[in-house]
Amino acid sequence: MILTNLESVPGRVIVEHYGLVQGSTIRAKHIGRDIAAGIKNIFGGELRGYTELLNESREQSIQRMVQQAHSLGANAIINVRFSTSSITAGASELFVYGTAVSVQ
Amino acid sequence: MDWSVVLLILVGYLSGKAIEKNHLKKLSLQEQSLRDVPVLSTRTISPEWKITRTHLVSGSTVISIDYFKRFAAAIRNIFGGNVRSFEPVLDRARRDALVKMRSSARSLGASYVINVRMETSRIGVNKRGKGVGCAEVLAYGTAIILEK
Repeated sequence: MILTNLESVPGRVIVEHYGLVQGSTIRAKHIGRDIAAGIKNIFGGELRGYTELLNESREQSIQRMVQQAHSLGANAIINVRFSTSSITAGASELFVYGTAVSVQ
Repeated sequence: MDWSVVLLILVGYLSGKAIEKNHLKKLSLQEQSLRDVPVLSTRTISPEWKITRTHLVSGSTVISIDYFKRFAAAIRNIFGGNVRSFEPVLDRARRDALVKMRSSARSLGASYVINVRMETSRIGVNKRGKGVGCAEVLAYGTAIILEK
C-alpha cells in the first residue's frame, strides 16, 4: 500500500478511484501519565509519554484506513490528511483520511 | 497571596528557562545535521527527479507550558496583545516535529520531503479550559526517494 499526501503517486498512473477512506481512534490517556504530565506542566518541556501515545494511536488510525482501502481493492491512498481533536479532558480523536486509488 | 503559587511560578520560571535553552541548542544541532533533507511545502515534482518510491513520513511533539509562562499569559489576557511567553514554546514544538519527520525521512534514504503540512491541536483540556493543557504539533509530508 502506497501512502502519500500528494494528489498523485509520482511515476505511476492512477487507473481507478475508489473514493474516500478513513480511519480514526479515540484514545484516552491513563491516569498515571496524566499525573506525570501535570507535574511536567509546572516545569515545561516535551511530554514524551504523550508523544508516544499519540504516535501509536495515529499508527492505528492509519492501519484502519489501509484496511478499508484494501477491502475496496485499492493499492494506494493519495491526498492523506491528518486531523486531531480533543473531545473531553482525557481523550483525543486522531483522524486520518484520504482517497483510495489503484495505480499501475 | 498563597506562597505555594509564588514558589510554583519561580520553579516554573527557572526550569522552563533551562529546558528551553537546552531544547533550542539541541534543535539547532539537529537541524544542522539534517540539512541534506530539504523540506518543501509545495507539491510540484521536478522533472529531473528520477523517483524510485515515495513514502508518507510524519513527526509529532507534545509540549507542555511551564507554570510561569501560563501565569504570564493569564496576565497578558487582561491587557491583550501578543502572548510572547507562548511563542517560543510553539516554535520549539514545530521545529521538533519537523526534525523528527526529517530524521525518519533520512532513515528511508529520502532526498526531499515535499507537500509538508503542519497541524497544531490542544490536548488534555476540558470544556472550561482546565486540566493538563498542552499542545501537540504534527508535521507530515511525502518523502521522495531518488534513484541512486
